[in-house]
This record gives sequence, C-alpha cells and structure tokens, in this order.
Amino acid sequence: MGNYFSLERFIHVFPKVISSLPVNLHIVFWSMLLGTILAVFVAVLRLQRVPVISGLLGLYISFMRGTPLLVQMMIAFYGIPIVLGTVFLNLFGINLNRLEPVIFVEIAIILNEGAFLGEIFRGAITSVPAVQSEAGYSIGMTGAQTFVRIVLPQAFKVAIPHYGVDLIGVFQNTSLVFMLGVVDLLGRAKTIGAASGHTIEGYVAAALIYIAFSLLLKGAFLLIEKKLSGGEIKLV
Amino acid sequence: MIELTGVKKSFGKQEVLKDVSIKVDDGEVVVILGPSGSGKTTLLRSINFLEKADSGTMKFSDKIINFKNPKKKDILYMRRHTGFVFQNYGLFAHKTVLQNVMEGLVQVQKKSKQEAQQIAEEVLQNVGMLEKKDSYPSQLSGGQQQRVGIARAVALKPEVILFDEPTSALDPELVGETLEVIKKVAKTGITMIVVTHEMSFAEDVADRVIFMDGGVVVEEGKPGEIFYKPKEERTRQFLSRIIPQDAYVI
Amino acid sequence: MSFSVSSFWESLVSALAYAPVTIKLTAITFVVSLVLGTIIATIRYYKVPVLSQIFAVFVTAYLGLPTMVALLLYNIIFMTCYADVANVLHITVPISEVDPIIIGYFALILGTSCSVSESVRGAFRGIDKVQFEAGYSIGLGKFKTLTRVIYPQMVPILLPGLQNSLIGLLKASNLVSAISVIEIMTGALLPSLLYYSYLEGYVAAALVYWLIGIGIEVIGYLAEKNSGKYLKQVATG
Repeated sequence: MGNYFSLERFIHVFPKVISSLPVNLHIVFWSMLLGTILAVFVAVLRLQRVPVISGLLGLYISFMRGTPLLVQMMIAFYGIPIVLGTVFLNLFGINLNRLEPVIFVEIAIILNEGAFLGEIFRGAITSVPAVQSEAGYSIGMTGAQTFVRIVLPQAFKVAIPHYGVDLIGVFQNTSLVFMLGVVDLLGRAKTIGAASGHTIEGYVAAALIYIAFSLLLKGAFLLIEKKLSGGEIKLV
Repeated sequence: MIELTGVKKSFGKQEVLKDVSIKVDDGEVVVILGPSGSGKTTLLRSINFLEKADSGTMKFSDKIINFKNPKKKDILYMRRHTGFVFQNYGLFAHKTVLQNVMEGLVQVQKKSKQEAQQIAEEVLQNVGMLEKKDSYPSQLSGGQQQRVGIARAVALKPEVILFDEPTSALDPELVGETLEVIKKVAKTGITMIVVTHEMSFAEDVADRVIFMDGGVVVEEGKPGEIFYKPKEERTRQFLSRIIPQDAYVI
Repeated sequence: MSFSVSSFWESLVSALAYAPVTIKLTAITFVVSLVLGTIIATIRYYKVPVLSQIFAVFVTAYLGLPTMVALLLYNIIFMTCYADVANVLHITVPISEVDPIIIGYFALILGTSCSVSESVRGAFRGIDKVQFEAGYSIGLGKFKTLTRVIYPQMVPILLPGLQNSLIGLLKASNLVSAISVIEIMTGALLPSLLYYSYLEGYVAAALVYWLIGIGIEVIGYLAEKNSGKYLKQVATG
C-alpha cells in the first residue's frame, strides 16, 4: 500500500488542497444567495397561476430537473457569450468571452437553484393550512399582510430542513467546477497531481474535506431546526 | 344591522346557496341550524368573504356591497368590522396565545404594543385563558384553543361576530366550557350569528333561529317556536333526529 | 460564432446512439442499489450488532462525498493498482482493454445504495408495528414477513422519492464522462470536436437527457397510480 498512498505526501498536500476551499464556498455563497432570491420569484409566480408564465416556468423547472448540472454549466459557458455576447459588448463594453469561467458556473447553479428551491418554497407555502390565511383575513389583514406575517413564517419552518439538504447538495455540486478549469478543491488536487505525479493523496484530501464540511453543514442545519422548533411542539 | 339579499353560490355544478335572504338586527343573537350540506357555513363564510358568493347583496351599516364584484376596500371593511370564530380554531400556529390576540390589534388596528397587550390580557382573562398566554396553540386542548379563538375575535371589538360551528371539532367534555364562554360574549349585547348543532345552547341564547336546508331558508322564528311548534315538515324531521324524543315532548 | 442547426443535428444523432450506454448504466445501478440499499436499511432497522454500527458510520460519511470526487478517486486507485493486482490474480488483460465504465458502476452503486438505504429507513418508520405482528401471528418468519408484508407496503411510500433518485442517478451518470467513458454527453460532443460546435453538442445532450428524464417521470406517474391502490381503498372506504 505504501507505494500507492504515502502519509507523508498526504500531510504535505492537505494544506495546499484545503487552501482552495474558499473557492468552493464562494460559489456556494453567491449561488445560494441569488438562487434563493430567484426561487422566491419562481415560487410566488407559480402560485399565482398566470396562464403563459406558469407554463414557461413549468418548462424551465422540468429542464433544470431533467438535465445534468455539468451539461447546464457547459451550455452557460458556451451559450451565454454566443447569445448575449454582442449585446454586452455594445451596451456595456464587456467581452463575455473574457469572463472568468467561475461566473458561468455560478449562473448555471443559480438557475438550477431557482428551479429546485422554487419548488421547495412552493411546497412549503402550500403546506400551510388554508385556515391560517382565512384567520388572517378574518381579523382584517390585507392579502399582503396575511402572506408576510402568517403564511411565510410558517412556510419558512417547513422549508428549512429541505433548504439545508439543498445547500449541502450545492456544496457537493461544486466538485464539478474543475471541469471548466476553475481551480477549486479538486482542481487544486489535480494540478498538484499533474506536477508531482502523485494524485491519490490530493484526491483523498479533497474527499475528506468534502465529507467533513458536509457533515458540518448538516449539523449546523439540525441545530437551526432544533432552535426553530424550540417553543413549539409538533403540530397535532 | 346586517342584511343579506338574494345570495347565490355554486361549487361547480352544485348549487349550495339558492337565493338566500336573512336580516340580523343590532344586538341580536341569531343561530343558524341545518343539516350538513345545507349551505349554512357557506353563508356565514360569504359574509366575511372567506367564500366568494356568486351574486346577491349585503347591507351593513350604511354600506351596500354587491357580492358579484365586491370592491377590495369593502371586503376589508367587512372583515374589519366583523369577527370570525373557526370550526377548527384557526389559531396562528407560529404565535403564542397572547400574540394571536395582539396580532390584529397591532397590525390591523395599529394600536401600540402596550395598549394591545393590555386589551389582549383583559380579554384572555374573560375567557379564562390568561394563564396560558405564553403557550403555543399546539400545547392547548381544543377547548382552550377555541376560547383563544373567541378572545381573538372579541378583542378587535367587531360589530358582529360570526361563529362557524365553534364546538363541533371538540371532544364532548370540552363543549360545555366553550359554550359558556360564547354565552358570556352574547350577554355583552354584541350582534352574533352562530352556526351550530347545539340545540340547548340555541334555546338558551338565541333571539332567533334560522333553519336552512338544501341551500334555502326553510323557516325562522323564536327558538321556542322553531323547536316546539315548527311549521315546516322538513324542520320537524331535522329536529326529531337531533333532539332526543323526550326533550322534544316537553 | 452562432448556433449551427446541422451540427446540432449531427450531435443529436450521435448522442442518441450513446443513449443506451447511459440508460444501461442508470438502470443496472438503480436495481443493484435498490437491493443493496434495502439490505443496509434492514440491517440497521434490526440493529444487527457491529454491522449496523459500521453501516451507520459509513453511510453518514459517504453521503458527504460528492460522486465526482469518488469517481476520480476510484479511477486513480484503479489506474495505479491495476497492474499489481492483475499480476497477483493472474489476469492477463492489459489495463487499456478494461472498460472504465466498471469504475463508474462501482462509484454510482456505492453512492446510490447509501442514499436508497436512507429512504428505505424512512419507509420503515412509516409502517405500523402491527403489520410485523400480523405477519408473525399468521406464522410467517422474520424474512417472510419482510418480503411478503413489509416491503410490498413500502413501495407506495418509496415511489415518489425513488423517482427523484432515479432522475438524480440519470444525471449523475453523466459524471462518468470525466473518466473517459463515452455516454450521452461525450457522445454528443464527438462531432463537436471536429467543428468546435460545443454549444450544439451540449444542447443536444441536454435534450436527450431531458427526454429520458421525462420518460422516467411518466413511468413513475403510472407506477404511483397503480401501487397506491391499497392506500386509496383505505382512504375512501
């Protein structure tokens, strides 16, 4: 085994690999932030059931659910400059071909999250019993007041566990970004491997970092869930 | 005064309300009786626009509202001047007892937090729920939840309170305490429309009883008249099934 | 640069030609994982000593490992160790002759078995204890009670989740492209390499995946409609 895996090399490589973790976290942060905002719009629009928009959103969600993220990232990477390239060059003087690949990765994940989180939010909102809204109306609240003060806080609680699972999924999905040349955990492990001729140690380091950080995130969300259900026993 | 004229409502092909007209005077306590599917709950919910009736008009104070296309402003006006007590309580699940009662006072009536809390505590005291003010609805029995539901409606000082089968989701042993609270509210002289199956309560409290069946008002009158001298065969049949025979004979 | 319909068409044809690779990879992985996942879940449900603890730790940790990382890791281990292992086992097939898809199978089956085992554990919780007792009461053994009573009742509970897992697996199978297996995406790119028509290739690949995904949804819908029969009778009767 010693020929294949050397603890010494592993100890040497580990800090180098983990120094790229911020790249992955940066992607997670921006994708979740903007993806969440997009998802709120998607969920609310879908609940409004506007004829044409509803159909288009259904198609969008189906595409995002039915195609691999890697393919979506590649389509964003090659497609966005082709479709929007001239517009951006003429209007803002930005050459999209020169943009960092990580931007396209983030766009793909944001669009992906708009669909996945959108469905989570929609499910959470519809899970709040109708009588809760009716009670809001009955004490004279407006539709907006009822939605914001009564429905949303309850939907939030329903959505949190799903949101946590989704966020861990996004973190794990960042393992694809090296395919577009982004130097993240895996990208770093790969380049170290190419330079030294020993790749296993770098990959093992990346694997351990992914596992540890995923468990950490999972624990954090369990804590949040527990805090949120603090005063309240489960609904009968 | 609240007056409904020619109210119609269908769910798909099923006509639930077929041209219903009722009038309730200020300070009057009216009980609506009827078998399930008679349209009584739909009628009550229409007043608060929790259900949208297809046609008809409603006269309330000096307002005349058309059910066909009510203005948003009028819907809000109705909801702000009437209270509603739900069959399955409808307490806000994420708020404590006190917060449930304060919500409308603060958010709708724009009262200060202190004033709202003062009013809320007073009302909760009246329904015997002040001790539980920091509990969440899921920690309360059905009867306790319903008392809070009543307190929430009463606290807003509405002109009319609408009760939608307030005791029918309760275990039998909890019905009494809830009815006592409703009776107490009735004694304050507020206008009430109550949909219920509780005959003895109706007899005790109601100024007038309306019997509905199949989406129409079959007959109405004082409780004594309806219960002991019903004019319509349908009313008689309904009562014979609900009131035990011996009580009916008295 | 613009979108060339003819390149897209070529890519689509090429992608479709490799669709069976993806479908086979997905289907076999799914079936094997279903069996393994159920076994793991059952072992953990019955709290079999040692084994259940090992699986508990393994599954929890392994769910934190992205499929891509697992694939690359197994691939590199395979590449480095193959010659020595083959020597010991007297295998004469050179590494260049071994289809890398077996690494894909290994990584996907391991990951999917773990996630399926979690779903099955959830389904166990959804089944009334009385169902076990009813099985024992008519003289069925533990194993027969599981296969004749418990597992069948889990099917409708599991179906909606399994449909999602299957679509997830279909998409995850795309990752084997990273270890030079030719599947739908890499297949769609074969013509692109000649003309630099990458966008056309990826769009063609997306379309084929999408179609298969919709197919799974339709099958799942039909299966759900049939399997839940016993639940519906309870609800209406």
